[in-house]
Order: sequence, then structure tokens, then C-alpha cells
Amino acid sequence: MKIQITNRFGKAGKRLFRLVLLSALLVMSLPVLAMDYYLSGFGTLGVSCFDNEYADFRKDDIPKGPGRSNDCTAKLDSKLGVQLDLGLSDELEAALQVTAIHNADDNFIPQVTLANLRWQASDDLNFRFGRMQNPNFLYSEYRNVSYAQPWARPPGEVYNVLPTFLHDGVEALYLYQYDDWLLEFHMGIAQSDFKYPVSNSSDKLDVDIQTSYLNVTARKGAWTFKAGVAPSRSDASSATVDALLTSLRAAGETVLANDLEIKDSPYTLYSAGVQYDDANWLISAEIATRPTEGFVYHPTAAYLSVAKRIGLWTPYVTLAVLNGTQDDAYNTLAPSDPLYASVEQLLSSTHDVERKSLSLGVARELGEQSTLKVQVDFIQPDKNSFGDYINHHPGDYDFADPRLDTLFTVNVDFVF
Amino acid sequence: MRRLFPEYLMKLFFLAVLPLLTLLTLTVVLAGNVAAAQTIAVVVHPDVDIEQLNKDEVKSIFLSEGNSSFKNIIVFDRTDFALKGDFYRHVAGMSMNRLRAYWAKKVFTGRGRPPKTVALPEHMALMERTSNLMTYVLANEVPEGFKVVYQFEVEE
Repeated sequence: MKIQITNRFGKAGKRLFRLVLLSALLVMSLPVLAMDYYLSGFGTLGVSCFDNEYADFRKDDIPKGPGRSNDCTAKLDSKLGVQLDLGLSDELEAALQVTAIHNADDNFIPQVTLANLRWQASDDLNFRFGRMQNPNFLYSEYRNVSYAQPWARPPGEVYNVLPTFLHDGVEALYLYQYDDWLLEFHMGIAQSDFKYPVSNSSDKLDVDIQTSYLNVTARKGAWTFKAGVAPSRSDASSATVDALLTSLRAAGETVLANDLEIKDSPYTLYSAGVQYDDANWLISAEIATRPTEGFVYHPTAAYLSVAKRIGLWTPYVTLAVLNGTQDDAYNTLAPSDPLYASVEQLLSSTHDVERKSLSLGVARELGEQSTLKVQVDFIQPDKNSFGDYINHHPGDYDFADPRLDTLFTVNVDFVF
Repeated sequence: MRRLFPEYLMKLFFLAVLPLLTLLTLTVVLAGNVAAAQTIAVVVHPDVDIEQLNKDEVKSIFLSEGNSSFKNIIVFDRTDFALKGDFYRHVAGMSMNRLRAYWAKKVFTGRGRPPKTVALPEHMALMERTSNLMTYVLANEVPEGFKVVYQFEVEE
């Protein structure tokens, strides 16, 4: 249920307006509903330093990171979220979650990260309407709740394969017990729009996605298996992309312009993951791929993470890899064509992002509700790759043979 | 004046060796205070149609893991931090910190809430009036008529 607001407020204004509106609705309901409620929250205080002076480390859709913009920043992982769950009846519950987190507009204005009604139709069937977190991966429904994750942040290689973090729609969860297995079928349809920074460019894409999804999760003892498919359609454009497409069409390159354009273009996300979580070990592995059309790339990514619980300490290691391939749009212009370089730059910025990373870290429990995490990420972009970073320095970033970069993070995660 | 030890050795001693020795000493002293074992009992209201549970079933009920056989049971946690810690360490292999992480996943994804935590006097009153209740108590606190469906010993 998307609330439409006039454009003159801008994205941040829209978010604030939605937040105020939804909060007001819930607060107005409180006297009537003075009943079952549950207030909870989560947060992270931390600092991260990145040793690449010619590009910023990218996290999600945040347009700035540590690195070229600032050696160190407290903005990368720091956040504060509050959630109110209201029991309206035995079957009906409302949830509102507001999170102040570094966002796509480069500020910390709180966003409504959950606002939905949940209808428990039966013991095993649950419907949700409103704003939800994208549920495609093992940790994506609580990707901001770092306290409940083994790392400082989920591996970006996999978790940015589909950079849709919030969406508005309707979904159903169905639980089915089979012998010792508990199966969860999670399906829905949703819409989202967001801005996404393009690698090696100051350009941001305006993305609009209509998605449907089915995720099946099977749990037995310490084991969790999850597989998902999300057939979707998207629009993605920016002033730079639009200008290039207009120039191509004016030059008679209509076929190439149509190949590059992302307008109601189909793509499907396929994902699979496994987790083993017991008193001694927490092991997670996921793989995802997203064949697509238009000028954006087809990413395929995977990670394996192993954490060993030793009393209050949990050391962990994560290996991740991101590959990008070109599915649909090729630069068919002759190198002498005046538009050749622009098309090449657009394709390169969105396709040449391959990288590998090794993360070493340790988490230390601090009492009942906070955890200290120290993590070092060694990131090696492939040759001829922008490494999925952002804000590259034109000319100085070594695209042909990128160096090994190090991201150092100290965070305290907490819940209340 | 010439220093007896190089500066880096002094730093190493004060920043690493001394704290480690202190930690080790405290660990040894505290470990020496281990007392006798105590028994924790999982109890149900007399009206509940359960006679015996195993550890996995207790874990499944208290963590609301979705086993439909026990969906009508209401569980309560205790404010007694040590008792609660011993209980979850035994039945779920979880520290209190990990238990919070477990419930954080459930709460922030809309899949459940942790059991209500109540102090002992309120706990006793709840036990009397909640006919589908399950909770845990020290073995010598089991109210008359309540059924013990699972019990275990922990070091005090």
C-alpha cells in the first residue's frame, strides 16, 4: 500500500511524510487499542575505515562510504531502529518499524522500514499487507538487525544482487509440518522504487520494481534450507541514461537503444541458501543469480561463512565472490562512432564489478543484549573491474589491475 | 637514565600480560566457588494434557518453533536471570545473548514474540489461574498439584 505524495517534497520529504502519517495513525489508534503491545528496538554504533583512496566502499544503496570520501566513517553501519507491534485482536496485529540509517539520500532521516497489518487466518496461515522487508535471502528480512547476524553486515556480494530492500505489497506465509521438518512457504507480490548509485559514476538510477516471489524454507534441528524465485519487472533510468538513449534514437540506432533501455523489462532472481546453527557452529552459505535485460548486468554471487562459538567469543571467516556477465545489450557501434564511448562507459559501469572478498572477524558477547564485532574485509576486485565500489576517482582508480583493499570495522550491536 | 626494560616490553606487560593474568586469576577464583547441583523442573498446570516431555520438545515449546502439537500452551519466563540462563543453556544450548538474537529474528520479521517474563509472586499467581501454562521452577518450588514434565540438574 504505497502512499502517493506530491513530488515537490522530494524523496526525503516523502519518507518523512509517510513516517509522520503512519506514526500518527498508530498513535491515534493507541487509546482505542490500549491493549496488547510490544515495543522493541535494535541498533549499531560503529566505525569503519577503508584504505582505498580512489573509490568508496559500497553498502546497499548508500551513495557514500568509507574510502575516497572519508578514510573512516561512523555512518556505514550505525543505525537505530524501533518497532511497535500492536495486537488488535487474536487474529490481527499491526507492526510499525522506523529506522534511522544512512540512506540513499545521504542522510539519517528515519525511514518506515516496516508498516503492515498481519492477519493470522489460521494456526498455519498468515497474511501481511503493507510495507515489508524483501525476504529473498536467509538474513534479508532482518538485514538491519546486525545483532542477530554473525557479521558486521551481510556479504554485499550476494545481498546486493537484488538491491531492493523494502517493498509495499501483500504476502502470505504458510507453515507445514512434515515429520521433523518445518516448511515455510513465503509468497507475495510487491512494488518498490528507489535510487541506486552507479559504479564509477556520480549517476544514480531511478529504479521502479514490480516483483512477485516464492521462498521455501525447510528447518530441521540446526539445519535451515532456503530456496527462492522472484519473477519481476523493472524500470531503471537516469538523466544520463535517458540522454544517451535519445541521442542513439536520433542517430538511427533504435535497436541498440531498445536493447539498452530498461522499461518494464523482465528479470528473475534465483536464490538458495543453507544454514547450520547449533551451540558450537554457525555456518551459512548462499548463492544468487539474476538474469536480466537492458543495460544492467547479470550478477551471480555466492558466499560461505563459518563461525565457531567459543564461550563469549565467536570468531568467523567469510569468503564471497561476485561475477557479472552481459546478457542482453552489446555495444554494436563502431569505435569511431561519437556515441561509442558513452555506450561503453554505461555498460562498463554496470557490468565490470567482479570481485572476491575474505572477511575475518570476531564477535564478543557483552552481556545479555549487546555484542562487539571487529571485522577486517580483504577485497580484491578482478582485473578490469570497478569492484562494485562507488565514487571512483576518474583516472586514478586502477581499473586494469586493482589493488587488494582492506575495510576495517569495529561495531557494537544491540537490541532492546 | 637507562631503563631496566625496553619500552615495548613494558607496554606489552601492562597492556597484555597484566590483564591476562588478572583474568586468569579471577577465573580460577570464581571456578573454585562452584557449589552443589540444583534441579530445575519444567511444570505444567494440572489441566494440561501432557505427562512427559523430552529436551527437544521443551526447547521447541519455549522457543515457539512452530510444532503444532503444542500451540495452545502458554509459556512464561522468569525474571531470575541465573535460573533463566541455566534453563536456556540446558534446553537450547543458548547463552542469554544468543537467546536475544534468536528472538530478535522472530520479532523483527513478525514471526513471534518472546514469552512474558514475570517475577516470582506474579509467577505463582499466573500459575494458579492459567490453565494452559508451562514454565520452569526450582524443584523445591513446584506448586502443589502441578505436574513436572521434564527436569534436569545444573551446577549451582
